[in-house]
Amino acid sequence: MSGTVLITAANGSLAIPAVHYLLSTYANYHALLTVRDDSDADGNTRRLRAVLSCFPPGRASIWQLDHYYWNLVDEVELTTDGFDKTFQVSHLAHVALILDLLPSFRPHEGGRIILLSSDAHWPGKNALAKIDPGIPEDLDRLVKPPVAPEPLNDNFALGFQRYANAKLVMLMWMYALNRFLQKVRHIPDCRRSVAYSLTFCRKRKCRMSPR
Amino acid sequence: MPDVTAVAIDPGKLSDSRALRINTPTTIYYLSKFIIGPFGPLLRLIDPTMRTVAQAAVDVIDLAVNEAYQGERGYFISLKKDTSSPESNDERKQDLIWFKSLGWVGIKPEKLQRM
Repeated sequence: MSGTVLITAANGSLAIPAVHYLLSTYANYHALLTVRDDSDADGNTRRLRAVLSCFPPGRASIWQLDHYYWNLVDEVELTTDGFDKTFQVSHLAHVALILDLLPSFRPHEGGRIILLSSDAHWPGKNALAKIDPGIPEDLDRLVKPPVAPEPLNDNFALGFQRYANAKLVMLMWMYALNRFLQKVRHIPDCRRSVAYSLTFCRKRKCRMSPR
Repeated sequence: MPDVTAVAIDPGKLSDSRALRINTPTTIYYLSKFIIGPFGPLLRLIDPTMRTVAQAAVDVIDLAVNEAYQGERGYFISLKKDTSSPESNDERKQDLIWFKSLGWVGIKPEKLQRM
């Protein structure tokens, strides 16, 4: 088999060994890698480039794209869209990226979309969780959580809950995505790709520049 | 005809991930850097779900491209199909999240019909 594998947050601590394993083991795949900062000023990007230097040129390309985020020390941070940053980067960016890329899967070849989940989605399973995750009645509270601290007044607990909620929502969205994909079985267009992680930027649209 | 499928993978507790050292309290930072990371092999004897990023990376990529997993859908813990939380399996809520997410990212449902 051959094709293209898209990996976002490609200079992350999980992604770098994933890139190495992909290029080492699956010789017929090209890696399309996205990072927040594609300059050499970023130490993690330098590590990624060091891995790529072990392989022939052309096996991989690096693009700039915003990625994974959480904040367990500060209060709610909002993006320019006015959404909670953790939720936007961890879920909404995935939604936009994946749905934009669906037409790029080769017809008759299928493809796979891999989302990174966590036991944090399940109440009581993650030792770092002080407040259980859960889907609120008003779903807009997911993108605009209360800015003022709850009576708990614990930025770590609230920050982790926002992360856990994002993981729960992403997981639930995945189930709905599969039902959608089973209904729409004929995907037009050219290349197979696999969305790996999550990321995003301004105006809920991905802007990518190659380097 | 092969399908496009989606999978969510829990890669395990990653003992040497940098995530615990970014935007985290000082105690978590030092716990990760000086205890969890260096003593990961010992900690794995207590908690088998604890793994290195290198180990988890193999699972993620195999799940993505290995022929053995073609057609797989749903929730995985490492490379084993598993069951996610009760709330996550609530289809009514899943559909609400699906349509709400379209609205949040500014995609109209009719655009999906053209895909």
